[in-house]
Amino acid sequence: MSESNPEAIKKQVKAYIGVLIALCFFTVFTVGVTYFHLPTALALAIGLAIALTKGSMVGLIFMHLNHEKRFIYASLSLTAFLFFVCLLVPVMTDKSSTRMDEHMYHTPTPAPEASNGH
Amino acid sequence: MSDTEGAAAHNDHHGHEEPFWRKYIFSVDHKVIGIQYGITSLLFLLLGFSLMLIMRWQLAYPGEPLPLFGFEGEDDGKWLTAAGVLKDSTYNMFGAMHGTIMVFLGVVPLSVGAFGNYVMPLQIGAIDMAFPRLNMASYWVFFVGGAIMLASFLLPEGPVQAGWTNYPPLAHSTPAAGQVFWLLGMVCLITSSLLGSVNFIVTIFQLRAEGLSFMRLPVFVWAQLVTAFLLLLAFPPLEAAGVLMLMDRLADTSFFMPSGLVFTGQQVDVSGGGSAILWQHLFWFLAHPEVYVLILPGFGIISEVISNNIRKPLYGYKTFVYALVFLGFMSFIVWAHHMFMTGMGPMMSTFFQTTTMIISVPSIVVLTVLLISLWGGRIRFNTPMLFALGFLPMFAIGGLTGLPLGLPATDIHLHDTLYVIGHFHYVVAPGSLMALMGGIYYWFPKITGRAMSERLGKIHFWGTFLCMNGIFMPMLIQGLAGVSRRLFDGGASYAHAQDVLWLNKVMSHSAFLMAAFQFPFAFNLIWSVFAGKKVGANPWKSTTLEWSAAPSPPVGHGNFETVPVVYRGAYDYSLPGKQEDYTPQNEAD
Amino acid sequence: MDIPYTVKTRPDTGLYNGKMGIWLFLASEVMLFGALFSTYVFLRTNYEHWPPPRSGEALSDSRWLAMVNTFVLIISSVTMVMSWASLKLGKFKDAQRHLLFTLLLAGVFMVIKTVEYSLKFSHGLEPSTDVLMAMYFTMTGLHGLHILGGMVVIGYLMGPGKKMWETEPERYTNRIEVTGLYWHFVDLVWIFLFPTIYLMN
Repeated sequence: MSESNPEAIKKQVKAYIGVLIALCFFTVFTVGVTYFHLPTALALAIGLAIALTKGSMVGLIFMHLNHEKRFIYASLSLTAFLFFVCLLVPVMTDKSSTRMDEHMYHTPTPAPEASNGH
Repeated sequence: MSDTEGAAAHNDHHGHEEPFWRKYIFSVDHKVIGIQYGITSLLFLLLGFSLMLIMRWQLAYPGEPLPLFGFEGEDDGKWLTAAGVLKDSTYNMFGAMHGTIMVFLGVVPLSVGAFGNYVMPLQIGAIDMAFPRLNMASYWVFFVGGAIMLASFLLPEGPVQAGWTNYPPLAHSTPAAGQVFWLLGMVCLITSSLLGSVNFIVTIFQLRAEGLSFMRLPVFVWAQLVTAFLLLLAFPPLEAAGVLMLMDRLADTSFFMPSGLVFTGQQVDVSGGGSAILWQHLFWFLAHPEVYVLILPGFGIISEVISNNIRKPLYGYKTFVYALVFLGFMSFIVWAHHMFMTGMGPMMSTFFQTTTMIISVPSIVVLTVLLISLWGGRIRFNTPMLFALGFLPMFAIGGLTGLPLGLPATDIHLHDTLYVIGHFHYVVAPGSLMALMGGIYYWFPKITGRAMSERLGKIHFWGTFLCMNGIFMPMLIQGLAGVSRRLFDGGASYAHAQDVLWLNKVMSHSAFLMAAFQFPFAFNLIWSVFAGKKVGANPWKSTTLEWSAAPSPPVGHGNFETVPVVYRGAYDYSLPGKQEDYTPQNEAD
Repeated sequence: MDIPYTVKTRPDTGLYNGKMGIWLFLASEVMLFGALFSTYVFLRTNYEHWPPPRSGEALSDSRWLAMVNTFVLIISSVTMVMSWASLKLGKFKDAQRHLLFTLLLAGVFMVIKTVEYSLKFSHGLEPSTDVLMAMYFTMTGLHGLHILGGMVVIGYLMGPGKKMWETEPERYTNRIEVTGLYWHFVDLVWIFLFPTIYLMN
């Protein structure tokens, strides 16, 4: 709702088409990359990077986040923070998957039976 | 928004009156919706309380038939054994539903749906909420959720029985129908809350009267604002978990059931790969902010009542507001203190114990601000004020007993004991619930234009206050002795519980006595609607905006004679040079 | 009774009510899908040898259908925002045409999704098969429900709702903008869902 004059709207429309083309390109790219059978960590990183790029374009241009109001930015920042908390913290508490505590604390490794079955 | 006539024209002539069902059943007026939430939630509170009274009989007299209903029969019935004794499964069902009903159908709808809806728009000088039809939808979705929860009692195998927390794999071993009803009910209740919280936030930001800046808002509005953000961002993970558990029960997935699980010697037939801990994370991610949702509106109500009855400005308003906001933020990052016993390792438990210790600070700030405010005030000891003053030490006990639970070292001994139950009931029962009762006495004159009986109110207060301590203090003692929670015989079969078993009778008799003390309240409430003494717009001589609306503001015709303009902060009591000892917010110099 | 700031923006926040409301709702949706992604991360890191073989392969095979669906949604996002832009330029008929395209593209998405699901079922793959299938059906299913919801709203705005353009054009334009924001969000979720489910196994 920030610009109402025809000129500004027409400029926006050009941006929408530009983003459309970029999104199509990135979509093909992200599928194409799977054919290289990269190691998991690298594949995940690339896939995430592409998704973030595409997502940013949708958010900034289609959803007009590039010139929104402070209230929206503040609410979304809080949400983003909580999103990452919800995404990452449960996994970090799971000893069997992350082995974080074994790196943190230098306790002598007990006999094998003792460390299994938790 | 509900009709296309212009605003000015509609206010001048009452051309068409809406039919009864539009005006009072499917109303879009925040005041009607507030009352609808109020009546519904009070009935649910009564139901939740009744379930507990039955459980308390069992705990005081394990193995004895229920009075009145426990007559001997041929076989075991749905709820009672052949001898008329409460079945263990019934005890578990009542326990699970007591928790669910009190939290989701009782306290929150009363705090937010009733008080929030009715009072908040008036306090900000608005004519209604930002989205009146969404408000109506919120109530009816809540109603449907409540109906589903109630209906689960009628299922052949009964409602859920794995606690209000519904942990898998235990939850998965209970009858599916009860679980599915609970989950569907929760989806409805969560949806209702989400829609409501959007409405509250937009209303507070967008519809404040001219001159009403944020730092002039009554504390009650700030409390509702923080609460709305908590509901908005914390509920969705539980909704997701609900969907996942529904898939588990209806589509045979196993999101929460690990591989290789064995029940009573038999391998469980599931596809595996799931995790029971996952449910706990998603559940508590909501349920911890939820407990702040339970208390924050109570803080708001107490602040209004205390500010009004000390006849001087609230001390530390800004500090109070910052404490509320900080509390809201911190509440999102403490949840795993409910999960210290799940084997998370020292690093993560250190993180959560630290955040939990930090979060106790804003609560203490709030209590301190309120206590210091009393100093030098000309205190009026009316019924709302008695509840507010009683709240302070009760919440202090509740908060302090939380500290050993928030430290893993002590939690090892106290987790899943009666101590936990004593702790959280202190904050919710003589805490939130007493605050809400005080709120009813306080705003009743605004809603109905009549006053409640002070004498009956004082009887209600003293009886409730004393009995609540009789119920919940012994729980702390039993918990310290190591008595586990959710035991249908109250610990009778455990050697370490024998010395403290007698306290079960103390608690139960206190509960029965407290039930008796609610009769003056119920009578007072209903009788005063019809025959209470009529009062003017501002019988408490308060400064906040809702008191400049007419007594019992009319439905559907705007709330104020003239649109209010605000010139001052929320608590300008005893201003020097003024005739009256209070100066309303909309009074210019 | 007229609620203020339904059409014009409130000076201090710079927003009209509907826009603030929809962004708050979208924030809650971020948390909803976030919890599901969190579930995926949690269950996958706990799984012995990811992916479960049959499901992993089946989803990899489906990636072309899913890629087509990605294009479909992206284009529908464009037509949706073009609908709003047309209204800002006063071109009602163009706007209705763009809404129709959005609706049709959404329909195509749902059809392709149905085909995908049937292919899975015909190979004996269902939610109860293993964790990956469970996540696939649940996440894409919930996303699909959101598409359906959006279609209902767009259908309303093309049908009984379009009368508002005659009486309150600005308010109608706001409704299209708000619906557009919801629609872009649904597209956004798919942009993350697509690689997670189909390409990461």
